[in-house]
Amino acid sequence: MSITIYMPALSPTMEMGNIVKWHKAEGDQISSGDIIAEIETDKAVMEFESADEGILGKILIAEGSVDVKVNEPIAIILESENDTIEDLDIIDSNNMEATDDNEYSIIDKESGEDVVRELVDEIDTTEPDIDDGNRIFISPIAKRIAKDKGIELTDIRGTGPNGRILKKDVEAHKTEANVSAQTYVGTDLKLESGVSLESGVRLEDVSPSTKTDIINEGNKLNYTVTPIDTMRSVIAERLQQSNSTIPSYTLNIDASIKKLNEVRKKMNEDMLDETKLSFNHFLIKITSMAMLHTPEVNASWEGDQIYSYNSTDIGIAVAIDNGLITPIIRNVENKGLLKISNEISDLISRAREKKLSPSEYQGGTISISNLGSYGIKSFTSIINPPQASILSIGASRKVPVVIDDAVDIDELISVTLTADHRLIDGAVGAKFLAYMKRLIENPNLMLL
Amino acid sequence: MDLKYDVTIIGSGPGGYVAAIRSAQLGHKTAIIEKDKLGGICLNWGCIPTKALLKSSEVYSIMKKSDYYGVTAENVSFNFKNIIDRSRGVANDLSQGIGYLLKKNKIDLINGNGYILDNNTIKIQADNKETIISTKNIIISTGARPKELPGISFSEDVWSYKQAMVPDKMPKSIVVIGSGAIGIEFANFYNAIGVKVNVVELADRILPNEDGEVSEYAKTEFEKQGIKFHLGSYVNSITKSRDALNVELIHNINKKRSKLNANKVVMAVGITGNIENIGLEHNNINISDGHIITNEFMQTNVKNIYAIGDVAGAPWLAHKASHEGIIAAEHISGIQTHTIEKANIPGCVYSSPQIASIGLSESEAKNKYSSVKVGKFPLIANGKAKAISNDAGFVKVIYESATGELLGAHMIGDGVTELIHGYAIAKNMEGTEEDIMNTIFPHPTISESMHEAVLSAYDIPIHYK
Repeated sequence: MSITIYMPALSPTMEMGNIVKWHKAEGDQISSGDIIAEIETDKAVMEFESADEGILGKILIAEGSVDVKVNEPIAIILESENDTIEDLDIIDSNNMEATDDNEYSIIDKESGEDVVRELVDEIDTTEPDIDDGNRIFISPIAKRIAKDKGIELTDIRGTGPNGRILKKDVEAHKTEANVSAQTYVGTDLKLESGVSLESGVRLEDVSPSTKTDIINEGNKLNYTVTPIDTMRSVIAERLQQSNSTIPSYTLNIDASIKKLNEVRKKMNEDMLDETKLSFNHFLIKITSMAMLHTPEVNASWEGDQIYSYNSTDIGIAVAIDNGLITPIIRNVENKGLLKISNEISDLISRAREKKLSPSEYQGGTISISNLGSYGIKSFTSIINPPQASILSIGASRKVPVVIDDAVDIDELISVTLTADHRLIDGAVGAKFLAYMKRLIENPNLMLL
Repeated sequence: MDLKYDVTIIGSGPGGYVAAIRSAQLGHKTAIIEKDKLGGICLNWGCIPTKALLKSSEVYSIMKKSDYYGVTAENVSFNFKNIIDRSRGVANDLSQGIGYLLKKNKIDLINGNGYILDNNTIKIQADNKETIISTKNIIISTGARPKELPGISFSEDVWSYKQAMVPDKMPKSIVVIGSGAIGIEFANFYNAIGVKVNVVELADRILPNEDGEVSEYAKTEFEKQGIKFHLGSYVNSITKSRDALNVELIHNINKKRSKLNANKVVMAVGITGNIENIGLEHNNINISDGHIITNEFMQTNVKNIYAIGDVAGAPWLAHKASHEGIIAAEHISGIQTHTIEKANIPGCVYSSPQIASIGLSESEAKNKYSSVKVGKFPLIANGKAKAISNDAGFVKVIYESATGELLGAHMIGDGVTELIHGYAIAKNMEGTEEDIMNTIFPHPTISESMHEAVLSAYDIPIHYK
């Protein structure tokens, strides 16, 4: 018997994935739990474990393939060495509804390879264009643009009558299509980092749309072409959506961190081990406490209703190679500073290796972005939906203050809240920020 | 009458009554509020009665030159009152037709002025009666009214389109302010029945919303018929001496002053949305520049209140209003609906020759796209136009070179308002040039020019050049 391995859905939103690497070759023994492949989803590269045992009989989708749809067969595992590939009942019955039995019986049972090839052919032809009842509806202009840009019609979601693919659907797809040139999607994700045309990439390797652009410009190729990788296109799409659909506003407040720094230094000294609490760890806890204090902030806009959350799940914006990701610390209200500190360092290091699972960066009820280490005084961020707000933390700065007719030195940071006005009104946002300031300036309140 | 509704529509113009019917079709209990006659401006004071007037003037013009066709008609004359009466009769018939359609669809008609008390309650004020109804959704389709110029108000001498449609007696001369569709149609009508017509336009060309070449061609044609144009000018003052009005113009650039004499002035300088006295303010419904702001599904910032048609902004066209009515009704019912692509809304002027257009003008297209193909076909090369001796005009199309998308089509000539939908369908279905090239147009018709214009854009015209 054989088992068909399908493209897994590694996150709730995943519709397609890229096969970055096959860890097993055809003929390799596979045990349950073995990592057989690495699959790139919209935000991370995930390891794909086998739930089955046997011998990897056939790889149906090659390493480096992109935009493989969830539930598309990607490999076949044979349960024992005696099995041959022709025992493909599962594929036959589950996936090949269009294949009728008579047609199937012609296939030579002796040569497994051919059967697989036949099957792969079948899989290929069930998708494109016509003949099987899955006629693709597409407008003439959309069809022409898709053809010119080399976009597979099956990859485009149509929004017209009867799901007809319209010009705007193809245009919306074009950005994603830039990734589809195989050259750029190998085993190494670093390919995104600005491929210079002068540094040896042949024009043929550039995706059709990019190529057209270059020729049209008539330039001497004195610029570099960076294809959009999956992460960049997800970032672009989400931020665009956020910025164009959320009526946001910003509030800014200064808070003195003099006392907090003193407390923090003392705690770090007293802990007597390697653990060091940073300002961010305090900030995460303070944010959680302020959200409990002003629960209207801990909510999200869901079309015609508002979801209010019981837990405070806080995302931390982490810059990684060519992008950013916001791993989430869940239930911060139940966690102490030490636990927060341990979790965050683990999340950040795995984020940088692109090893986070989607459940570790999706959802969340607020995000924090801290650009203080770059000396940024204050800034605003774009809300990360479905979250309803985001905090932007600036650099600390020393300022002279007058206390009892004497000049003293205080240390301030700027905290900026960007909030979704649909559910967080200005006064509510202000109340939230004012309470954060109170906690920052009176860290003893954190014991409450 | 149970005064609880799923959908209530304020205003029964071409947006409102269509929204009501679609709403009823979708199973909603629907009411429509109208303070005047069913059918709104379009049917009573706009599109329809003006077409009736223009048909009369066209028949008169043709009869005057009947000799040309070998037909003798002596002492051709007309009765001005009968022309006006026929126009009113047509409007009244159609208005009654709307009443019948509403009844057939079980839509409650409530006469009076609708005022939104809150997002679920409307007060309807009639002469001596006040009705309060509750409703789950509201569609505002209160339309628009003609704008006045600063310092120049409508009066018995300065007419709006409404007065220009029903004068007691025919003026000897008129000055038309504004050369948009409305101004041009009245200029054409009055000129054709022998009134001396001067048209004042602030822009440097007539029909400023049309393609430049169409404006130019139309101006020449209208001048041949006797209409005089004063471009780049505005009306500074209108004074009355005895029976005549003195209209003082100032040239916009050189500031030169000039005077025109006329019996009446027809002011057609645009319209402004009817946003007053319907309760927008205290429901905090967002408005901008005289119209209600909506999203693509015609929803205002208050979720269950929609606005459609002229009150929801330009272009001020009945067919756009009707379409928006359908979108609003479908969006309320939650079924999948479509949205309007502004470039796919055709516009028509019912002058002689007629003008019809859709999409971008040539200059707009050239600004927006790096490479376009323009094709033009003159009606003098069209067999049918020659046969009917009505060969003034041309058809022009603009394509985007890269995709073969029809960006715009502009037509001037006999009957072109009945042809523009051909391009509208092609645009809506996103056809390329090939789809029109491969379509068989019937011979002999003026529509063949639509085919030839596309061939010409790709340098393969058969009957020209």
